[in-house]
Amino acid sequence: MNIQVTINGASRTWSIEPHELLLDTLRRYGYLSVKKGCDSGSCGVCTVLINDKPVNSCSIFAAKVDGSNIVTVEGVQAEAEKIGAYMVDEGVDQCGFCSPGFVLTVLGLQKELKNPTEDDILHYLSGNLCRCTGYVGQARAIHKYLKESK
Amino acid sequence: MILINEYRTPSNLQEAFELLQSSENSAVVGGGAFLRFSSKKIDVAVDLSKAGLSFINETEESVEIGAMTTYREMETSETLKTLFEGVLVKTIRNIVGIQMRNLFTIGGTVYARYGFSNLITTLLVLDAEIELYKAGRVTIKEYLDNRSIKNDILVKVIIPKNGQKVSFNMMQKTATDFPILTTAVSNNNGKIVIAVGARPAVAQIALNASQFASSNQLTEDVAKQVGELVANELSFSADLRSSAEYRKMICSVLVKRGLLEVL
Amino acid sequence: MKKDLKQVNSSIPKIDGMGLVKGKPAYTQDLIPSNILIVKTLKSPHAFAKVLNVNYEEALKVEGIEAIFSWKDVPQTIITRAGQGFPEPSPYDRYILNEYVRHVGDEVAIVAGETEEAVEEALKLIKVDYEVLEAVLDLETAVGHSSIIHPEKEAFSMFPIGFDANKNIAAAYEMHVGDVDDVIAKSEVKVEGTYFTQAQAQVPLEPHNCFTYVDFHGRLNVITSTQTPVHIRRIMGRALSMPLKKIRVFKPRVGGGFGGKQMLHGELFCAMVTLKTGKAAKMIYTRKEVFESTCCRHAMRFNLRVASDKEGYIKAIDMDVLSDTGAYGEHALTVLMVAGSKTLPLYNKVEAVRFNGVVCYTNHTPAGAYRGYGALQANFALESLLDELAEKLGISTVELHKKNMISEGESSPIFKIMGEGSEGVDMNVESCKLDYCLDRSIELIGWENKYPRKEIAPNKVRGVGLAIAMQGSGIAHIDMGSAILKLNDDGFFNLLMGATDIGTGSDTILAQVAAEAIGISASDIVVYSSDTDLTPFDTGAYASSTTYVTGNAVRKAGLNMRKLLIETVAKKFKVTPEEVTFENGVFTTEKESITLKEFSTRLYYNEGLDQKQLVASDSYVGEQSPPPFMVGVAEVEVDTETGFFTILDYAAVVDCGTTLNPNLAKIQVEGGLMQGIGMAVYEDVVYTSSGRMLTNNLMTYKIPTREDVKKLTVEFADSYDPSGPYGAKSVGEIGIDTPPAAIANAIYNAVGVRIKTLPITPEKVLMALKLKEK
Repeated sequence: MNIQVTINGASRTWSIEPHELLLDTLRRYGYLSVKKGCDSGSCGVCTVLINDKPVNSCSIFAAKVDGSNIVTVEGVQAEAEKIGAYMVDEGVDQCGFCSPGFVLTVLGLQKELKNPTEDDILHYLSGNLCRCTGYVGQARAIHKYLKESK
Repeated sequence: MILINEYRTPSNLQEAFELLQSSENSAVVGGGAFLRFSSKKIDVAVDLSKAGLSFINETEESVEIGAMTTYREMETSETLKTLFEGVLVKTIRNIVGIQMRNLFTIGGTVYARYGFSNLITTLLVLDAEIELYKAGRVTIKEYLDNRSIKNDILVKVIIPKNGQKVSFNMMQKTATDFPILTTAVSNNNGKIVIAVGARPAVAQIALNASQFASSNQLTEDVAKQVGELVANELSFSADLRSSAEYRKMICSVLVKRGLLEVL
Repeated sequence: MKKDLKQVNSSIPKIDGMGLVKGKPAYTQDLIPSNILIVKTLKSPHAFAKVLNVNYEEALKVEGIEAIFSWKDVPQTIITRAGQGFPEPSPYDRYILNEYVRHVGDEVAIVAGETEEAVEEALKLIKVDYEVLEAVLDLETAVGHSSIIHPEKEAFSMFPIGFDANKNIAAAYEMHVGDVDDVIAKSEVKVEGTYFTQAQAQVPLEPHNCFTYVDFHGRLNVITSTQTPVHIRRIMGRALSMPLKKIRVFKPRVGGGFGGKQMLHGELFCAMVTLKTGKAAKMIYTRKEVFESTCCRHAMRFNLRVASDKEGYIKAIDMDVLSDTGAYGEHALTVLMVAGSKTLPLYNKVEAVRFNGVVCYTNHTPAGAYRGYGALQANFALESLLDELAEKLGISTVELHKKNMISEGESSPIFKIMGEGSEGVDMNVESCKLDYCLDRSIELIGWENKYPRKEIAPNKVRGVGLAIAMQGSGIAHIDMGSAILKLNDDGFFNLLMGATDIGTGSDTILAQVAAEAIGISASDIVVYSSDTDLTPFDTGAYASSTTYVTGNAVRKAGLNMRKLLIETVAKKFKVTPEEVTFENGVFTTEKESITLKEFSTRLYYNEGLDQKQLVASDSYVGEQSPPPFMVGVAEVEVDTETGFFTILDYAAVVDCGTTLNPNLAKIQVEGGLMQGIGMAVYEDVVYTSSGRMLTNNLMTYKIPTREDVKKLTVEFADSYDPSGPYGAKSVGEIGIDTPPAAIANAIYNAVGVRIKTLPITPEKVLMALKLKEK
C-alpha cells in the first residue's frame, strides 16, 4: 500500500507493507538516524516527531502515519548541532546510539513545555534510555541548553 | 512478526464496525503499540484514528473521553488536570515514556482489560461507564466481569462528575516500569470504593472492604484496618515483578495511604 | 609532571560526538548495502536437548529462501567464542551449530532469504526432532549432576584450567597464602556469610549485528559491531578452516559493548551463508536474541570468612566461589580469578588468604565478559562482610578500611600469584590515593551528619553506606596494543589503531596522547580504528586495557614520530637533531624555521630524491597492570512500610591516575555507577523452572531510567602513575564495582537488614524487616 507523508518538510509517497513498522520504513528510505534498539518501545532510540510529538517509531505501524508530518534528526541538523554542542561539552555523547532519539525528545520538550522544572525535564525524557552515561551528565547538558536557548 | 493483509482507516464508526465484522481475522488498531507484538495473520486491520474518537468533552454531569484519546492528550488536558484534583493524570503519568504515551489510547487499555492497566484501577472507583458501538453502555465493572463482549468497538469512556475525592497509588520497580501493584480509592460523601490492580490480574473492587470503610468513620486506625481487609479480600498471585505475598503486604499499605488521602 | 601537559588532561570534545548526535550513518546497520540476504537462526525451545533430525525441505520451498543449514551442513570444528588472547583460557566447547542444544535460544539452524517475511515463514516450517534431556538449572547442584552438559569428547582446554566436563566443571582455581584455617581459628573476631550475585545483562542499546560479503579478491569481509576485531578474525579462521589472510574484519562505530561484544555472536552464521551462497548477508539481532542468545554476567555464590584482631586489623580472608558460566565456558576461569585478584589485594596486610573457586556449566544462557568481570561480584560479598566486621568490632567502617586497605608503594602477594587465566605479575602499587578517595567521598556525602541513619518521617529512614574497590589496567604480559602514525602533506596525521572505541571515547583520548607525544594539537590527528587489513594489532576493548595499554603504545609511537620529524628536518637543514626545536607547529634551528604544514607538503612534493613517507609505529605490552581505585558512598531513603527505597545520592572518588580527558573519564565513572546501581537493585536475569528466560526484553529486564537516580557526585583524586601514558591508569570498569555493597550497607545502616542476595529489591527489604520484627 502507499502512504503520503511530509518527511523533514518534503512531501513523499512511500510504498509500505500493511504491517510494516514506521522504524523499518524510515530506515528503508534512508533515514538512518532512526535506530533500532529494543523492539518494544522501551528504549527511545527510534524516537521521531510525528506532528511535533515524540513517538517511538518501532511501535507504530507505518500505515498509521499516512498524512502525518514526520521529523527525524536528518531534518533538524541545525537544532541537533546546537543541542549536540552542549552534549559534547559534557562528554555525554558516548556511544551515540541514543543521541538522535534523545535530541528529538528534547525538541519535543522545548515545544511542549514552557518553563519546565528539573523534574519535568527528567520526566519528559525518561523514555529515552541511555546505558553509557548514567544520565546525570545528560541532565547537566540539557539544563544548560534549555537555560541558554530561552 | 505480525502480518496484516489490509490496513484500513475508516472515517466513521459504522464503516469501522462493518470492516471489523467483514472478516474473522480482523482487529482494531488503537495506538497499535501492543498489537505489533502479535504473531497473528490479520486479514483486516481497522485503525480508528480517523473515526472521530479523539476528544475530551466535559458536561455538567460527566467527562467523556473518546476511545482514541492518547494518554499524553489526557495528561495535558486542562479538564483532566483539574478533574478530581488530577487523579487521572497521576494515574497515567508514569507509564513507560512520553513516546509511548503519545501512542497508548484509553480505548486500547480498557478494551483489552489489561491486568497492568493503571487506568482501569482508577476508572473502577470513579464508577466510569463505557460506550460500545454494538453492546451499548455498560459500567467498567460490568465490562470486566462480562467477558462475552468482544468483536465490538469501544467508543468512549464516561466518567461521572459527582464531587468525589479520589486517590491513586502504585508501586513500580523503575520509574517507567509496569506496576507491581496499583490502588485507587474514591470517597463520594462517605461512600468509599477501593480498587486494586496489577494483582497481577486486572483491577477489581474490594466490595466488602469498601462497604466497611463506608460505614465507619475514617481514622488512621480504621484506614489501616481497611487496608488489611482489602488485602485479605482480594486475591494476589506471583509474577516476575513480585510474589503474591509481597503484593498483599503493600496492598494494605497503599490502600491505607490512599484512604488517608481522601479523608 | 601533569602541569606540562598540553593535549592530555584536557576535556576536548569527543571527536566522533557531533556526527553521531546528528545521526550520521556510522554503525554497522547504517552501512549495510541494500539487496542483501537476511539471516536468522532457529532457536532451541529446550534448555537441553539432542537434535535428532532437522527437516527443512518444506522451508526451503518458501519463495525467496536462499539457504538453510543445520549442524550437519556446517564445519564441526570445536572453538571457543570468548574473544580472548591466544591460547584462550576458556574451554573449547562450542561449534558453529552442534547436535546438542544447551540453552533456550541456542541456535539450531541458519536460514537466509531475501525478505524478512520469507525468512520468518521458513523458520516456522522447519521441523526439528529433539530428544529432550534433563536440564541443569541450579548453580548449586550443577557440579556432579547426572546430566552432563558437554558430553562431546572433542571439548578440551588449551592449558590446564581445571576443566572437567564430566562433572560439569568449566574451570576451577585454588590458591592460598599462609594457613587460613589456622589464622582464623586463632583470631579474636570472626565473621562469615554467604552471598549471591545474579546474572546481569550488558544491554548495549545497539543490538549485536553484522554483515558479510566476499569481495572481488575472494576474501571474506566481516563488518561487525565488536570489541575484538583481531580475535574475531582468528576464531573465524579456525571455525571456517580459512587462512587469516582471507578474512578482513572491520569495526564501524559501536553502540555500546560493556563486554557483551567481546565474543563472537552472529559473525559465523552470516559468514556461513556468504561462503556457501557467495552472497552478501546480514544478521541483526532482535533484543530477545541479545538477551537469550548472546551472553550475560556470571552469577556467583560466595562463601566468605574474614577474621581480625580486636583492634580491627584483618588477619585472614577466605573466599570460596561457585560461578555459573551457563551453557558454554566462555570467560569462565578469568572472571573467577578476577573475583579474587581484583579484591583480595585491597587488604594486603593479612597473614593468610585463600581463594577457591569452581565454575560450573548449567543450561542457562552462557555467561561472558561484562564490565566489572568478577571483581564486581566479589566486591559485593567482601565489602558487605567487612561492614559486618566493623559492626562486630564496634568501630566505624571508615576506620576499619583505613586500618587495612592498601597504600601507595605497597604490594600484595596476590599480584604475583593470580593473573587472568595464569600466573600474575609482581608489582608495587605506585599510585594509590585510596585514603584521599575515602576522606573525600564521605565528605561529599556528608557522612558525619548522616551515619548511620536519620529518621525523616515516621516511615522514612535514611542511611549511608560505603565500599572501596580496585580494578586493573589491562592484562600484564598478555594484552598488547599498537599504533601507526602517518604524516600527510598539509601537516596532519593519521593514527591507525586496532583499539576499538565502543563508545567510550578511546579514539579521542588516544588522539590526545598522540598529539601530546608529537607536540601538536589533537585536532591535527585523524583517527582510524579498526580494520584488520589496515590497523595494527590490538587485543581489543576489554579488561580496562585501552587507556593504559594502547595509550602507552600510542605515546611511544608519537615520540617516535616526533623524533623522526626532527631528524628529517635536521637533515634538510643540515644540522644535528639536537639543534632543532619543534613547538607550536614550527621547526626552528638557529638560522631557519619551517612550519610542519609546509615541511610535510614539501617532503612529499618538492624534495626530489629526499622525498619520503614518514611513518612511525610502536606497540606496548603491560609490564604490570596498575589498579585504579575508588571509594563509593551511597545515601538511601527507605520506606519501612513497603521496603521501597530511593538512592538519593551516590558519591564516588576515583584514582585513575591522570585523567587524559577529565570529562570523558567522569562520564565513564557515572555510567559505570549507574550500571552498578542497576546490578544492585533493578536488574536480574530470571528463568522459568524449565529454563526459559522470562526477562528477555526491556519491558521485563529493567535497567535504570533517568528518573530513578537523579544524583551522582563524581570526583577524581590527584594521582599519577609513573608507568601509565602521562600518568594515566584505566577507568572503564572501576565505576561499576561499588554500588552493590555500598547500597546494601546503606540499607543496613538505615533499617538494620542485610540483603545478601542481589538484586536488593523492595520486596527483599520488606520481607527482611518483617522477619526482624518477629
